[in-house]
Amino acid sequence: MNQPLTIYIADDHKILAQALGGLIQQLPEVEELKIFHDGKQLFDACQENLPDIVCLDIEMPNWDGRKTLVELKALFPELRCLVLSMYNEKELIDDCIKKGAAGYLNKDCTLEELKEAFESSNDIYFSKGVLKHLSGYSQSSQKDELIDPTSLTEREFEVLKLLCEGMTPKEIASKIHLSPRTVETHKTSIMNKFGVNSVGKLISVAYKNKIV
Amino acid sequence: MTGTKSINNWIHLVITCLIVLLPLADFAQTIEQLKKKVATEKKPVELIKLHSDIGTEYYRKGDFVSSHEHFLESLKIAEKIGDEHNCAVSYNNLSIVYLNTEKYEKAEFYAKKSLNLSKKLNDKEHLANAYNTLGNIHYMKMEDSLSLHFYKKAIHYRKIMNDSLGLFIQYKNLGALYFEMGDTLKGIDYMEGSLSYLKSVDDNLEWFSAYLTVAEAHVYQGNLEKGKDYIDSCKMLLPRISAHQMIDDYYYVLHQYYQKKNNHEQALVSYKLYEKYKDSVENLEKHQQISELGVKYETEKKEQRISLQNKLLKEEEHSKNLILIISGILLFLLLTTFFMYRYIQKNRMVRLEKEHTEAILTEIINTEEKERNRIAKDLHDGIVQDITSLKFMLNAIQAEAPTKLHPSLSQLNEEIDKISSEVRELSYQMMPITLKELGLLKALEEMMNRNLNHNKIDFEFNALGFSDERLPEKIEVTVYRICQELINNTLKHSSATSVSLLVQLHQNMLQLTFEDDGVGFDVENVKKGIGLDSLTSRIAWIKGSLEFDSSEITKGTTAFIRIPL
Repeated sequence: MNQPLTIYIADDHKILAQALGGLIQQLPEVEELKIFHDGKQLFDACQENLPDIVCLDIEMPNWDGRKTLVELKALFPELRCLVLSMYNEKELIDDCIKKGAAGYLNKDCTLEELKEAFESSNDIYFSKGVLKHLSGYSQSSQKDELIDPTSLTEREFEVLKLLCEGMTPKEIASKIHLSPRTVETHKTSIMNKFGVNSVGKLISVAYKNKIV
Repeated sequence: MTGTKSINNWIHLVITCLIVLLPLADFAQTIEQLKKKVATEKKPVELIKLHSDIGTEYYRKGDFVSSHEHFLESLKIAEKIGDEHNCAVSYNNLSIVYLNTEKYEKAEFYAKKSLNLSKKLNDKEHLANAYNTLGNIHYMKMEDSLSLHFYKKAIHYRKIMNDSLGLFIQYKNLGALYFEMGDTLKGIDYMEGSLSYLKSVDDNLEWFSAYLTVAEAHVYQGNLEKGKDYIDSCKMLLPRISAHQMIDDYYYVLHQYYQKKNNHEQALVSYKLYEKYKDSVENLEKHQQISELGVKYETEKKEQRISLQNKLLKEEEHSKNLILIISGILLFLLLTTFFMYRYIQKNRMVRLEKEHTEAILTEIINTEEKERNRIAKDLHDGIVQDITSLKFMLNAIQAEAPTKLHPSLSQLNEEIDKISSEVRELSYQMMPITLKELGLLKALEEMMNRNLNHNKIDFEFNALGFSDERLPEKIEVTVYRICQELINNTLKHSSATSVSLLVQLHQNMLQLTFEDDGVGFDVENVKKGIGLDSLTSRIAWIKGSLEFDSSEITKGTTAFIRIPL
């Protein structure tokens, strides 16, 4: 058996906190468990007596979970902080991990998952429900295309520059006295030369390669 | 080209006064010199400038009748030779004269003319001047929010021009506006802040007037110590100021100061000095004389011309025609005045109607967002947490239940999970927490990930020109909803396989370029569709513009959206 653990939970939903606490207390290695209803209370308690693990809800009155996380990590960099939340938005999960969370679990996770999260002292732990959301994401290809600006004609370069300045093809047409269709042709030709299939991509590639 | 200068237009607090930029002593001499030049000058461009200068001199002296006359002359020549730049200047100058004679409708009419022309010419200095004048007109009309709107526009252009005198005027006016709106502290802040723009200006009188304004604000506010500091600064400059109009204001402020200090003796002394200088100022009875200015002035002018013609006609003994001409002209003037009045009235009606529609739209959108926010929060903080508690209870029962109940309890468990995830998705669609906590860009990425990946559509998301700073909440939420609408539209109708969204922040302009490679649509027909209707009204609400580019040739749909910040 592992060494005995002290665990603090902060959750403003009292019934849920009780239920969660009851579940956690079923683990034999848990020696002491305290429940708080906002982040500030938990933080103050940590200053008096530092637990082994804290579990934070995200939305709470007074100090919310993210604020509490930042404050705790600043004072106790070694403290293992888990976020327990029903939000499964990837950017929010990323943000919590960036702020130093050691894991992100949904509140309806199983006792086994909680146990694993408490014990896996090195890796960042995600419960199954969270992982299901994270794995659904494929990062859009971030490779930086190298572009040869000399392949553009003078007119094409001009059109590209105006596109990057935020003008629409119609506005460009009236500005440089061409028909909208000609501008459209130039635009398509540039996109072909750069191997992109959208104006959005074209502009961002142009900026990233410092062509304009 | 060398354009004529616009006269600066000041809002002086509490007392509306003119700022005399030149000592009055020089006035007669200057006018005489300028008029001599007019007599010999032939080039229209020079004449425009000379008349404008003379008008400015009269304006500074407070003679609005003569000022009006010369500005009008300047305008006529400019119109004749098609010099649009100077037309814009003259319209603005005329507007200022009308403003000072409290003829607001006419002032607004000319200011708008100047504004429209300046927009056409894309002349930033004229634009700033016209916006300032409009701001002043609405300031005087106590239409504070309009005034604020125009001052901010003016500040925008002054900043682009890096015009420190202009910025001084702008911030001083803005300060006066806040002061009058009851936000006295902010007002004083702006007024004091405006002083820093004067540093590069070497003109005692401008400093004097600026100090005086701030002093007056402080005294009015009861900050007697600070007020006295600024009064003392004025006092230092006093020996070098010869414009009586400014000096009388100085003594008036001093009088106010002593009044508040309960030093009645000194208050009386300064009041007497105030009266002395006030009386010495050559003051035309501007209000009475100007009251019929609009029509009467024009009539007089025409009559002068007519009397000249009359002489000639007499010589030729054609006096009968004269009556016809006079009545013709009078009729013409009457009709012109009538139609101009109608035009202005109509304009005002249209404007009021538009303001009303905007107010309703704001109400609708605000209410909708507020409700979405509330429902999302209620769902997540209430129902989702309750369901989770239920699940815990069920698990506890399951642990102790007889084995034959296990299959149905497991099924119940699964059902609860399904409900929970549905409610959470609903809460997300209502108002994602990412948008509230992490901002627009993260929320957009999250949304594209969720909605597009799920439907096996490739996407490309790029953001350029952003810093860490969050955008105003109204903009963030609205732009998010706009993108949501665009993506839903793509999912529903286009059978696209890839989508690209580019968000650019460039010089206070937010630009969205949204593309899909779907079937595209007939722009004119679909614009009236329901989904796009809510899209266009949201864009209109934040004063943005939307342009679609959708055709069978280029395949797919492209939307260009621009939103000013």
